[in-house]
Amino acid sequence: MSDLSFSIGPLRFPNPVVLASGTAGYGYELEPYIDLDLLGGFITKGIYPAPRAGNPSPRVYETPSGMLNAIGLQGIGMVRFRDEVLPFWERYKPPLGINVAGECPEDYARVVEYLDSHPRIDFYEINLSCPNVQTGGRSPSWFPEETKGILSTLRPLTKRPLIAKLSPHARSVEEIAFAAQEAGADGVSLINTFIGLAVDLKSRRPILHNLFGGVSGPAVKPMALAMVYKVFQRVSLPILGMGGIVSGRDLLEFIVAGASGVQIGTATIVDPQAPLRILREASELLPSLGCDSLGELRGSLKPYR
Amino acid sequence: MTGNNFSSKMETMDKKGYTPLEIVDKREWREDFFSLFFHSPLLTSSLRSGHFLMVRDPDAPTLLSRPFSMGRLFHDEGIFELFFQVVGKGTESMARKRVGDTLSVLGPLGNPFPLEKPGRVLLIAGGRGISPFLSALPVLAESKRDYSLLYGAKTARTLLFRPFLADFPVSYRTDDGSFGQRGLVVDGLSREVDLVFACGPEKMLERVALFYKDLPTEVYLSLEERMGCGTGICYGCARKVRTDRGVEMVRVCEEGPVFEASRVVWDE
Repeated sequence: MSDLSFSIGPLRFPNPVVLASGTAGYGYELEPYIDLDLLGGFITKGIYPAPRAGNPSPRVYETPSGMLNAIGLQGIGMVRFRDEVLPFWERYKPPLGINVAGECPEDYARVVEYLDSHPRIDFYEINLSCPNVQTGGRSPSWFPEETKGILSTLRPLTKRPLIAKLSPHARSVEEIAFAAQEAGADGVSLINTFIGLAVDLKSRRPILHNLFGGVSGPAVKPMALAMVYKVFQRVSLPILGMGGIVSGRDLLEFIVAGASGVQIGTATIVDPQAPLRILREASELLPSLGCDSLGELRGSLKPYR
Repeated sequence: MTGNNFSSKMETMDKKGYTPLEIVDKREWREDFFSLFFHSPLLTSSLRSGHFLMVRDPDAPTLLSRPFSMGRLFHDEGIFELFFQVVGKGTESMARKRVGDTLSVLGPLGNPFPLEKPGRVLLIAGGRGISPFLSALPVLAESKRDYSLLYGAKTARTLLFRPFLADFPVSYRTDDGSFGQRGLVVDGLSREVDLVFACGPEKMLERVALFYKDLPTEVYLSLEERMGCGTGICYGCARKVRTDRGVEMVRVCEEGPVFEASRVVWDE
């Protein structure tokens, strides 16, 4: 049996398939479709201190080889999350990550402070990059100082791993990753969605009510791979790579580029059983590459020069 | 389920998933309306009027699945009908499918119309909103209840399924008067009913809700919204609905698609 596990700090993930925030609900929605215990990990929808209604519909639209979404971080807020969702997760084993969101550093801190005493939480993914709230898509992870500021506020508040989720729109994603490392992050996830626009020609209105949305799916995979590789070259932190992974082959390509594990998002929206299919495909493919573990493959890209 | 190794069994044990289903028959109607027929005794026996299915063509250039309500159910043969109009790339590729081809289907999804509630029933269908009532009519007929269908379309050419509907109490309306009474279905609403189930264009549903607003009639509407996943995970299809906590954005796929009209919040 191949070893598919990987670690972020002291936390061990049994396999590389982690479900991406905002593409898998709170988890219980997927229970009718997959055995959640077979996942490598799970990251919740973004949790704000207070409940949020999100954007008006339409919120989703299909684009060439991908999709555009502007959900707007609809969510039940940290209190209901703790009372209603965390007990559900006590029935399952995989590492559970809380995606922490906020409009200011204090918001992020309130969520971590409120939830940190709960034993079922394994790590935090700090959402420094959601493009779908009404800020024209601007996000803290465009700027090293803002990235550092939020992460250094959170670092003393918890012993659990902090993973910074980064935007593809920073001038240099690798410099943002370096800033995250300096501020005490234990890992980085990349990439979040690209800002996109869809136009309805007849009405000359944007298709999404929010105007802009985030582009995800196979269309963004080459850009995601490039950024994973650049960040892998620059920092020593483990990377959760994502962007358009729909097959086991895609998954292993991210590992070769330097990712420790991956996140599956759009593929789960297309088919709730896709994450486990991708895991099976990757585990079947790995021995044919002459590897017994993901570690042997990690960062093994061999550029020509 | 496909696959026979241990891990793929583990993935799908007791779990619901997309299943490849073969198209056993196809019907091309007028004006870009199509019906595809699938053999699946399991789905045919578990589908109820108001449920929906997510359908994906694995060979299509499109990525996301599309939601459809099913049409007629042929219980003896274990066959169900998918009735749709070509409105975009997804439905275009479905319309090109032939008998013997397969599509991936997930369902039943969502909450059906509560047909079992007692009282006199009025079904209201606008255009392709006839779809869920094709399976409701035989159920209501069998229950020997007082029921009828009010079915409207733009013109006689798009007033489909008339031979099938001949066995049921139906009154027809067309915008141009080419069949049945001239006018909109909302001009033909009756106060003398206890339950209303409606499916059709948003404007029609809103006017149905308004008509019965202060009457004791219980009204249920099947709503549509652009959908991402169909399984409740993406929150793409949310709309404003009154809940116990106040007005919230609620998922059409998970909490709907059938909602009590009194809970629906209409914009503008």
